[in-house]
Amino acid sequence: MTGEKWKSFWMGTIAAVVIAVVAGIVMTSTNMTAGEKFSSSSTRL
Amino acid sequence: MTGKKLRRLLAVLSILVFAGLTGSPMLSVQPAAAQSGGQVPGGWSGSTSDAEFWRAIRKGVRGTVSIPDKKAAQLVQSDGDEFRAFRNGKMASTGVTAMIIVVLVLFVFFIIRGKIKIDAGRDPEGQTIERFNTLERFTHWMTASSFIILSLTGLNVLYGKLFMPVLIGKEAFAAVSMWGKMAHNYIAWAFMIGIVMMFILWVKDNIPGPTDIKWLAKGGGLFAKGMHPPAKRFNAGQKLIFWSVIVGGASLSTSGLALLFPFELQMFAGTFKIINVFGFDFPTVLSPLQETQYALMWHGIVGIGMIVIIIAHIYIGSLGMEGAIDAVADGHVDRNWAIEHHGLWVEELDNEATAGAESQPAE
Repeated sequence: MTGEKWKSFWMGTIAAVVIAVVAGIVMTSTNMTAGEKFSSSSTRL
Repeated sequence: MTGKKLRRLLAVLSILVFAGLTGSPMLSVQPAAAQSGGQVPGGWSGSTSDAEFWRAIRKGVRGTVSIPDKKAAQLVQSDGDEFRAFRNGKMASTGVTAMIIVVLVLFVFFIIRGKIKIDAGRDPEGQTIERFNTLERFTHWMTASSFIILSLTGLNVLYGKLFMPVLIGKEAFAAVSMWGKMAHNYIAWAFMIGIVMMFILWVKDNIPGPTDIKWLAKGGGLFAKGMHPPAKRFNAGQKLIFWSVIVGGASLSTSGLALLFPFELQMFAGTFKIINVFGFDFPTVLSPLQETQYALMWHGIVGIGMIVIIIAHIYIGSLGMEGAIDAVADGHVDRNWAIEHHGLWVEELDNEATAGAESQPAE
């Protein structure tokens, strides 16, 4: 799966990885503090 | 006092002292609880049996709490037992059976039918038709690659513990599972975006029509050489795949979001209410934990269903049919392939080209 013929495959796959990395950064940065995490009102696992 | 009388008095006193020290019921002045109303003696709860009390907790009875986390009102969530038994039992065994069956069916089909060739052979002049443009191919591969990662990591969650520790060791399995779970959570966003893009790009060509019934009646020409029922841009089989991916993908996405943000998105009680209109009797009052368990079960069931469908899709798009893979590789398919498998679509393209040429002013 090399060369010009499979360019769209690599573009799509790389885009999926980039989206995953961005999603990971956003989701990790919005993680709760330890205080929130262990609060009895916490709803996040 | 004679010595005999003294001995009797000491004997009675010693009995009384002994009974008092040991708390003998013989001397209790209060009536036993068992003697009133036939109740088994209770502990701190009075006449109620401790066994009944703990049995009720074990069966999932809910109390009340004043703290914000209302889940704390239920000490033992008994539905979890049934959920675990179903997930590790029937769901897991049915899922693996379905995947084995589809692989076997495709293998037998390949042995009998072989690779479906282009009957007329490839166009001698090398003419090709653009089937999918760059954006369409990009969308296909972004969704496909993310789905493959999601499938592998999802299967690891359900089945990995059964064989992975033996193959790679417990420590490696733990690491693979941890990274796999993170990959699953994050790459799911690419899949969700891909599903939305696919819907926007291809819905107009995937509306079912009369030609689809004819195509299905002839089995899509898959079972006989030289038979090519007419089809537009997408045949009935491809439309089935499309709608399976859209509906299944949407269902996977919503249940996945409910798992990404547990106890925040709750949709099953509401969905059950709607389904019950059709005569079903699903529970419409669910605790947050039950909602999460339903989401987990549904996510797994739909995920395995999608894997089964996509295995068939991958087969027919690669090993099973000559020239099909070109459509998503560089986007251009052989003209003879297009005529045989999507004859009505080629006619439409030719008519558009002719109309376009006629509308050009003569120079």
